Amino acid sequence: MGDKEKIMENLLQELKRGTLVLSVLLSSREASYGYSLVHKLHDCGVEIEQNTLYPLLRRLEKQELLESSWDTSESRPRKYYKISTDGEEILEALKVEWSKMNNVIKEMISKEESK
Amino acid sequence: MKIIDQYIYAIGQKLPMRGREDVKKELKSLLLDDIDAKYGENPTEDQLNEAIKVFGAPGKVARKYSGDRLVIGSGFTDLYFLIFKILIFAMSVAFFTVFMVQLFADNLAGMAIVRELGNMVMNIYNASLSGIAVVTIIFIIITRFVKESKVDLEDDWTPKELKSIPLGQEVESKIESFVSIFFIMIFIVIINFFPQLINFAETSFEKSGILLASKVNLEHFALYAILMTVVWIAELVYHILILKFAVKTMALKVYNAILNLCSMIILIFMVTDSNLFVKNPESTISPLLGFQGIFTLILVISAIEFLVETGKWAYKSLIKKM
Repeated sequence: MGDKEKIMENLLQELKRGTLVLSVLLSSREASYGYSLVHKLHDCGVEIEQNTLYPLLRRLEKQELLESSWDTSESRPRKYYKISTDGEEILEALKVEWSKMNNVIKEMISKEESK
Repeated sequence: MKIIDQYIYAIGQKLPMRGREDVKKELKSLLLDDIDAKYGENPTEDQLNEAIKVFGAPGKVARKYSGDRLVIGSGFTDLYFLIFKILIFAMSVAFFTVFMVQLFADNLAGMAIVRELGNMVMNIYNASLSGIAVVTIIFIIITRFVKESKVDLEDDWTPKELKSIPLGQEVESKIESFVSIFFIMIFIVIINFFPQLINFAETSFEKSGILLASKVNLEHFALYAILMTVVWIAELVYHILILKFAVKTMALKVYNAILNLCSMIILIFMVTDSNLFVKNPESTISPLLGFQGIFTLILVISAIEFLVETGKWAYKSLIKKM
């Protein structure tokens, strides 16, 4: 991989990293366990590695944006995550900020393309 | 699936104690979900190995859960290195002073000097190493138990603080100030606590068979030692300010010039003070051979330096006006 490709890959990773929390909070309205969340995000077009998502879920839980519970009713115990009340509030604020940012970037791109 | 348990155990060993069991339990469940989805309920050993390989090395997986664990918090790094440098400098001054005292007090010569020099280097190295180890442990404990955000050393910083930064000619090298501080501290210790070293030096010289024309009267020297100490402490302040701000402001230049002038005045009094030197009528050599000569030499060098600096300053001022 050349230098430019490496730089591009890093920049894309940074770009995606910034959207991960928003994507996870948007996908956690219903309780889901880690592995199912990977697939849920994948189906929405968000590619995320398992080893990135699982620690992120725990971090969001620690920040009290997600709440968790163990389901031991099946043969394999699973930890389910669901957005908390605080998480809902943060999500609403993030959505507003995201829209603002999206509009700004769209505006900048359209200005640049019209030159 | 023993290999899965071994893998989860290996990750667990690298996780913080807090929440370890919960992370292990969750990881095992997630890994088994992944294996089920990819290879069904009865995977082969190779398939298990492949799944584990894709999941990642134990250390790498554990690090994702532990976050960036710094030995010393980035907010403390500058302070840590400052203390580090001060420590080495202080140890160097202390052991060099001890060496100087030994040199004269024990009348060292030849290989004994080399041996004591080696001891001095080793002592500086060992003491610095011990000091650095203690400082490092303290910083590791601070980083471990105190959240960096709670000890933001620049938390109360405001742009108003910039107003106290003096602007002037930037100092090209700080080595001059470091060396000056080093020797000034040694001289202060020697003339105040070990003035007898002056007589030791004189006696050592006379062992060569040449009798000095005069020797320093230590009782009378005590008065000059106080005056010299005052000037040297003022010089320490000057060099500390240079190290702190790395600029020679006009105020600092004037301050330094006044100090040089004071030093010269003290030296003039010393050189011309007949009570400071006890004459030896048996001596046949020049009265300048001895500490009277050394003081005269320092006076001449100081005067030349003072004249050169003043001349340079006057020349630059003249060029600016033109």
